[in-house]
Amino acid sequence: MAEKIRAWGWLGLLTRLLLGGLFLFAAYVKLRNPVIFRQGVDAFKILPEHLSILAAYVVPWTELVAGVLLVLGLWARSAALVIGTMLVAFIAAMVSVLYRGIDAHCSCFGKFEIPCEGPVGWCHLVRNGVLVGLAVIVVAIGPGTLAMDRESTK
Amino acid sequence: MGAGVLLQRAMAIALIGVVGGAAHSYFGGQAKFRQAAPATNPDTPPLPGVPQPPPESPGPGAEISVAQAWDLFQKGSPFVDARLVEDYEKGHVEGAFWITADQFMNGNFPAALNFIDKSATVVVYCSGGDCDASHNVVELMHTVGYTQCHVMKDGFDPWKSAGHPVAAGKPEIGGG
Repeated sequence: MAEKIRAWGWLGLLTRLLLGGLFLFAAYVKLRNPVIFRQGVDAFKILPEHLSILAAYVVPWTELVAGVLLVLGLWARSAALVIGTMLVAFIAAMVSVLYRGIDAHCSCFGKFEIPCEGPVGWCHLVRNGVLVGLAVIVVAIGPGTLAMDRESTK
Repeated sequence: MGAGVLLQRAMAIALIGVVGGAAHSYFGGQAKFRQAAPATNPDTPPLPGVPQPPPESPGPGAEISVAQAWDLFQKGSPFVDARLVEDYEKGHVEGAFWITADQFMNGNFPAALNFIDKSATVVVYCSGGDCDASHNVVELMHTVGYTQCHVMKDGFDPWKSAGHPVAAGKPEIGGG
């Protein structure tokens, strides 16, 4: 029983570090050049201009806050819930882009295409689906070991 | 931890992101997008003894009038159209390259830039008014070494209305 709890603890730790680190990186590259990310948002043709400018800052800031909390293991389940919700929204936006046949780049990681190259496609949907899975794991089992949250696992 | 606490904390995280992003956008971001020209008040007389730059030589990134752009056109400065390709095809400044911020996506280098010297004084324009595509392109061009770019602030239509040279058709470079 103790070994099982320890295994869950390590799984929680690894998952939140991976997810948190990835979103900290995503926030960094977006905030480093918001113009590029704003163009990416515009290319989706979903938001009006004033909202796309706002989104170019709100999205990376939210990623930054949630990423820091995940890495620290503080409010980790809630941070994972926020990231998971954002990812679902991104997936919906990408499906919309694919449905309308728009040739848009996601700008998710700036000029780094992890791991999908080119315009938004199925690879991006699968990638975000996998990331949603990671977020669900953290929400379900908690932050794991070495976390600032009192509860280490569910 | 209950679902209520989980949701409350999630909303708090989202709220911090929204407030932080909105503040960043308001206090720092908009200026970056717009990259306005150095503030000058035409009603303020020049201070005695302080040298004033001639009106024909705006600083890098500055907004210029159609008349100043025409002056640069006659001197052979390259022009860049930052509007949608459909708009470019309907009409553009004669000889203008078509470069949009999208072409810089994912670290790409717009093909048309291979034909523009980095030391050239470049005039970038879009539709005028609230259009900030030209400012975005100027900023992106600056990041790849083009430091002498100006924005024709009133856009293409006043240029056309003034009877300056225009052309129509697909862009020769970068238009797919």
